[in-house]
Amino acid sequence: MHRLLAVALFAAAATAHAGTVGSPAPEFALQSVAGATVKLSQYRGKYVVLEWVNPECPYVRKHYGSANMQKLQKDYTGREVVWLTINSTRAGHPEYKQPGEMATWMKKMDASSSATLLDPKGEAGKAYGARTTPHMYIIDPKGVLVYAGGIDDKRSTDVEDVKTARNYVRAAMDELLAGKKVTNSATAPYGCSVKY
Amino acid sequence: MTISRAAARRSPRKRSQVGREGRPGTAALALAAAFALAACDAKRPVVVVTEHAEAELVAASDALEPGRTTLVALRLKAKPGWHTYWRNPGDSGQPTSIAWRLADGFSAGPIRWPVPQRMPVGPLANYGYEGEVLLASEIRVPQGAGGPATLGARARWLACDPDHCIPEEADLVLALPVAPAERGKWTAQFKAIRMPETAPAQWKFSARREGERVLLDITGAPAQALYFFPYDEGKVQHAAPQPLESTANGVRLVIPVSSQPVGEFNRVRGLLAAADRRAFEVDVPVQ
Repeated sequence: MHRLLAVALFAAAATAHAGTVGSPAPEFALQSVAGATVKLSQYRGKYVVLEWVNPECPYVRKHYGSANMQKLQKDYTGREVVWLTINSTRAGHPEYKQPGEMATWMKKMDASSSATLLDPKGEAGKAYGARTTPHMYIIDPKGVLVYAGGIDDKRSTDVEDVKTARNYVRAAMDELLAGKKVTNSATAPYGCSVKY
Repeated sequence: MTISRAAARRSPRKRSQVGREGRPGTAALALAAAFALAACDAKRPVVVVTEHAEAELVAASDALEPGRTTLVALRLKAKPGWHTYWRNPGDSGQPTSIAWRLADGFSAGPIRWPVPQRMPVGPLANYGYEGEVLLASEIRVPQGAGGPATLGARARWLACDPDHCIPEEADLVLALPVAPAERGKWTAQFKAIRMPETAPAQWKFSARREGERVLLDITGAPAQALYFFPYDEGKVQHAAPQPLESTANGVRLVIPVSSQPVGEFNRVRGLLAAADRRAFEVDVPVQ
C-alpha cells in the first residue's frame, strides 16, 4: 500500500505544475506546418495565446464553422499578440493530419494564427495538461501562464451558442491588454479529448 | 472513419425511427408514424436509432397516476465500443441532456444519474456509460390529468469511442394511459439501475488539504478499494490513481488535486464508488 502511494506521489509531483496558472509556462520547441522550429521562448516580451486544435472534432468545427476562432485570432494578432495553434493528435491516429493537410485546413478556414504547430508525440500537450480541443492558454510577456481553460461558457457543438456565450479568452485578453489582472483565469475547458 | 462536420450534423437527420419490429422509414414519415403509433397504441415504445446509439423513453410503471409521480427514463444505448457521459464528463466530453416537452400541469425533475464508469483514454479519463444506461427523471402528474398522456423530450448526447466524438440528438415520445399505475414492462430495469446510496451511518467522514492532495478520512469503513467521482469539474485529476491507506480505525483516500483547478476545492462532493459496485453520495467540507 505504501509503495503504491509513493509511486502515485511521484507521479503527482511530476505533473503538479502542468499548465498551472501563475507558474512559468513550460517551454516547447515544435515544428510548424511551414517547416520552421518554433519555440515558446522566442516570443518572450509578448502575450502568447495557445489554442489546442483538431480539425475533426465537432467542438473545434463549431468555433471555426462560426468563424469565432478566426475572429479571435485576427483581433489579437492585430494587437501584437502571438497566436499559436497546436495539434497534438498522435501520428498514426485516424484523425492525425500531415503538416501539408493541416496547413491546407487552416488556409481553408481563413485562420490568422501566427503559426500552426504539430505535436505528434504530445509532449507540449502533456506539459500544459491540455485535455480538450479546443483548450486555451494565455502566457504573459514574462513567460508566466495567466489563463488556462475553455474558449467560452457554452459547452455545446451548436454554432448558434457562439452568439450568446461568454468568451473567456476575449475577456482575459482585453483585461491583460488594458493592464488588468485576469478575472477568470481558470475555467473548465470543453470539447473532444486530445488524441494522445 | 473520419468525422466531418457534415457527418456530425447529418447524423440526426440520417437516423431512422423504428418501432419495436425495426420498421424503417424516412425521417419525416417515421416521425409522423411514431406519433401515430404512440397515439393508437400507448404501450408501444418508439425507438430512435442514430449512427452510434439508440434512444427511447421508458416508464417505471404502466400508467401515469393523477396527483402522483412516476419515473420516466431516457434509455440510451451506445453502440459497442462507444460511450456517453455522466454529469461530470471528466477530462472531455459532454453530459447527456433531456429537454422535456410536457402538457400543462406536468413537470419533470432533474436526471437521476446512475453511478458512472471511469474510462481512461491515454493520459486522460472520462466518466460515463458504455452500452445501455437509463437516465430517469421524476415526472409529476397533475391531479386533473386525463388520458392518454403523451410525454415528449429532446435528448442530446455526445457519443464517443476512443478515437472519435459525434454529437447526436433525438426527439422522443411516450404515450401512457392515465390510470392507477401497476408494474410495467420496464419496472425491473428501473429497480436494477445502479444509483448512489446514502453512506452507512457508522462511516464518519473528514477531509483536509495537504499540498496537491485532498485526504478523505473515513472512520468505520472497511479496507476496500474506493474511487471518488467528483460532481464538479476542475477539482481532481480525473486520470490519476486515488491510493487508499489504512488508518487506525478506517481508511484514507488520497485524492490528487487538479493542476488546473477551477474554483476552490472546498468540498469533497460526489460519489464514492466501492469495489462491490455500490456507491455512496458524499459531501464533506475540506478543512
